[in-house]
Amino acid sequence: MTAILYFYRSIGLFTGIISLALWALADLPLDKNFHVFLPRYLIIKLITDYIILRYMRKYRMASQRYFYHNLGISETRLYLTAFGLDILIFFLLVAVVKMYTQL
Amino acid sequence: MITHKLEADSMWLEYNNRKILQNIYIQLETGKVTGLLGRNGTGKSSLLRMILGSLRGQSQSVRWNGDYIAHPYQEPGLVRYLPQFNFIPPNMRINQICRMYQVEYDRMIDFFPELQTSRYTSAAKLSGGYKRLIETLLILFSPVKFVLLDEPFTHLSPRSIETLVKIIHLEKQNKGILVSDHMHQYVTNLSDAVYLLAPVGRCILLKDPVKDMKLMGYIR
Repeated sequence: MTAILYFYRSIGLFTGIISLALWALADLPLDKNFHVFLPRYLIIKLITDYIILRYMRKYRMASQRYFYHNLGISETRLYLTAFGLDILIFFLLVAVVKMYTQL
Repeated sequence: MITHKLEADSMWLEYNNRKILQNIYIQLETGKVTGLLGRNGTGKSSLLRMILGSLRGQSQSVRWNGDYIAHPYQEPGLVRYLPQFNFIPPNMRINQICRMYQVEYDRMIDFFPELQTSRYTSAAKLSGGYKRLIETLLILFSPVKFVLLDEPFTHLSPRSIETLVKIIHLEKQNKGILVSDHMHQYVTNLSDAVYLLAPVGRCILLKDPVKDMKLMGYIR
């Protein structure tokens, strides 16, 4: 998991900014509005994360994929876990914001 | 010690109808060093990647003690691979990498005291030679049954190569080692069996490596 977290750190800033930008463009929805925002968010995130991960695969992972393979981690597992983490961190952030606004 | 056997059988690889490997068979055993020689472009690196399971060819069968494994690298404690280029992430510190790979850095220092100062250095700040040496040792000291070394002697000084040869002899007591390198003298001297990849994609087990390689025009 440490290796996957390391990989996520290398893309997390970009993907995190994209998530926040999408949320801000939708007027920071919470509660019911968030459920309307969610499907669109997930579709755009799938596309943007796919582009970022493809870029990583072509330019950075060409040499580093064996670092992860030697740890028994396939590229599919690496990318899917990174995508999952990305979504999870955004949801946690939204939950924290919601908690503070309800105080 | 129980002997483990890793067999790569029916390895077939083509790119755009160009044959790279044809029906290759190669066998590794714990306690032995296996050499793999061949000219540039004969598919040595591709064969190593197919054995690791990270490259899929038109056909392949890798067996561990007779049992088929689809992705050997995903089998815990089975195999690790040293590619011919740098593979460790540049921003990660060497001690972090060693922890992930379950390798004691002190073992590296035992053989190469000059590495003492590099323990907390990130890979990006190491010289090319040190980085290559650490990567090679990282794979060699890994707690796995088989290691595949692609050009382990490249970019190393003659003194480092001599020490590395000693380490390979020591490590083969616990694991099976496959070495592929253009420095054929080192490979033939330290190997218990030597395979030659000949065009186009044929693999020959050499009975008398030096004599056979001369006959095949690989060396003069």
